[in-house]
Amino acid sequence: MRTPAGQILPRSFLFILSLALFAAFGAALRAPLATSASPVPERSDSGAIHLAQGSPAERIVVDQLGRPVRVPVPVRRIVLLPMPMPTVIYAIDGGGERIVGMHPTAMSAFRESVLREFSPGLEERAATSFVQQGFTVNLEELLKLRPDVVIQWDHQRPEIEKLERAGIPVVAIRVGTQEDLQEWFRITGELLGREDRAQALIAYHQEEGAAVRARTENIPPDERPRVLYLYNEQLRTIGTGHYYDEWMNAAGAVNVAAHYSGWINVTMEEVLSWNPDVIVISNFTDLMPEDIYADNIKGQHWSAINAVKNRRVYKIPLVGYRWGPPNPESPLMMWWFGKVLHPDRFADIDVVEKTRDFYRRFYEVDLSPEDVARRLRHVP
Amino acid sequence: MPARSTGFVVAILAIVAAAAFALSLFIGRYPIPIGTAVYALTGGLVGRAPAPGDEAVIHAILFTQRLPRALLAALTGAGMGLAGAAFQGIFRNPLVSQDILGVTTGTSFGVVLSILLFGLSPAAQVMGMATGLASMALIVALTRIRAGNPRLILILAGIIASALWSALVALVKYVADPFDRLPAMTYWLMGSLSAASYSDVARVGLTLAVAGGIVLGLRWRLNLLSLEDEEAKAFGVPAPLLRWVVIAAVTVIIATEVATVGVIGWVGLIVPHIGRMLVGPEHTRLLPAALVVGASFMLVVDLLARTITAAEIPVGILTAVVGAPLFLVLLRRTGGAWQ
Repeated sequence: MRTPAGQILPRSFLFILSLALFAAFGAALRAPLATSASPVPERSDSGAIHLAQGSPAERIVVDQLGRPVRVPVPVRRIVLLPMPMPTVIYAIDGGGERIVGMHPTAMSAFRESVLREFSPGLEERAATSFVQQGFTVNLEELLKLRPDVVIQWDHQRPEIEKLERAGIPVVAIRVGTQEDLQEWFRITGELLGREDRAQALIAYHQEEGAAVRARTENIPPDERPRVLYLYNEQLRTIGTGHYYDEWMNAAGAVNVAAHYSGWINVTMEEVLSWNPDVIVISNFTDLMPEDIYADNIKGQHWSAINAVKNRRVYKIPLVGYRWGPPNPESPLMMWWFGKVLHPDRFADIDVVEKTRDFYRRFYEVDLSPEDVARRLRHVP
Repeated sequence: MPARSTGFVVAILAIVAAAAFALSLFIGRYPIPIGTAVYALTGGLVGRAPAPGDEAVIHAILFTQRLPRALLAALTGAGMGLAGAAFQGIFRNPLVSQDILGVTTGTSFGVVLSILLFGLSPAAQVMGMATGLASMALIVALTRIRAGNPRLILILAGIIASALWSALVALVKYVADPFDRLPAMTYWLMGSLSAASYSDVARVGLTLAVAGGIVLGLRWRLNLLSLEDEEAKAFGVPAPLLRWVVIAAVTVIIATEVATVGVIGWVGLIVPHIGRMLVGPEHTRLLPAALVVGASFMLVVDLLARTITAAEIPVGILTAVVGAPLFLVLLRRTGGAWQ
């Protein structure tokens, strides 16, 4: 029997070899290109692009992966993937003029935000279509935005590398503790050349955080309400090891799920056995305290729980951003929640005034007390 | 089918693949005039020079995005086509694809577990390949439980392994952080070539060259695997050994590809059918045809994935959306003819 394998085999190997050679060719092309791309094109005010004379202005910003990132000075066009970042830019830059693109979920939070009323045009101006669910961007769509810098989550390593291969500086940020949040402000201040305002925001967070804690730190454990954070109607909640610890502790609460770590789904039985004193519902769901009081979630039985019997179920506010995750307004969340839990210890604190004061200082806008009260939903 | 017409068909297929590759370099969401793209791709030999300020961005798009992506698409598509054709051959079943033995779900588990533990990182590819190969070892162990029809036992073992890994994938997704880890897993499980780099191209290319080379080298003997084991033995071919060699080679190809680009279904099922329609069921012709058709198919589908809408569409969705009607057309034309 004649075997054709012998004669066709070399041809198929040739095919694969040629593919491999082509790959090597492409890789070889990269090296000279990387250097030819290094002069940063500078955009003049007329919108035309020309190469800067001499070495272009640059600075080095260390991101939360500990990497030094070279960014142009000044940064004029910025793209944001982490959801809370638009409000951080707002608080530190005093506006969103430099934002040219953001994550669609960030945009949907922005549409609900009070900041929307003070930033005409940002909604139309900032692109969102370059990314969908998840954080995987369409590189060519992103490059159309001509970003000077992109801010991305630290856990998106392949995405960060993809953008950097294309020559776009990427600054990575990390969600975690209060210190991590303050690093966001430091990094943003350096990116935007607004170190003074970033420093003011950091100082505000430190001072206000300490002031809240001073009122709660000597509360004995048995007087701390046991709190359930309800992310959604699937009974998703969070244990320890997340930013939520910060405002839970500062406000003098005990997380009923503290023996878990990270995000978890629990059963109604477990919730019943915890019997929380207070329930706070996130802004990532349409679920409202009334749904819990009316006990109208199928398969769940809330009426026996202390928080429901005493009508202590609250929706977390959304003012500039959702107050649950880390954001520039986090100290206000601590004040609000502290007073919700311990009205006597915070009797002299007016959360509405605190909020208005923050908005005057950092967003340079005057909110009406009614507007703030409406957005807090529950004014303690 | 006479040999000359087969050569003609393969030549046409190669031209189609080359055209799909070229299209992938010239089409994208960022408008680059063809003359400018040619200028950049040939290092300034021919074509029209870009405006000075646009040089950097055009180079970035062509050489960090379109070129590595097109190479990776061609290589993964070729690997899946080859793997599917080889598996349909050894299992003598046109409904089989490379997913049948649970390698894809096994690899998926490693990747989602790694995303859960460390986020998206290079560790994901290592863990994915590890669990993919572990899944294969599990299959080997399962088939040793009792003798019987070896193909049937293999497929049943594959179904068991696949079900187990799927359940574990679901478990990992269930406990994942809803803000970062879960979207990353969901997106990854739908497959994407978006983060293609030259190191991905090198890894997938090398695996395909070695493991794919082994499968291609054995394709004459694959014809005998379509016979009963005893008959094959009469031709001097130890069928069980040969089957394991092909399965191991395909496992390596698929584990590498899935760990690199995620889960991309349908290609391994549909491409061998297209190949069979074009060059017939004989493996010496079918395997090279499946290789080239697979490359073209993935190039076209990935081109669609990054150009139809502004955001990337996961390519695994498109392979099914494009593949299902295509499969229907094929069935109409061939009536599901197999041998």
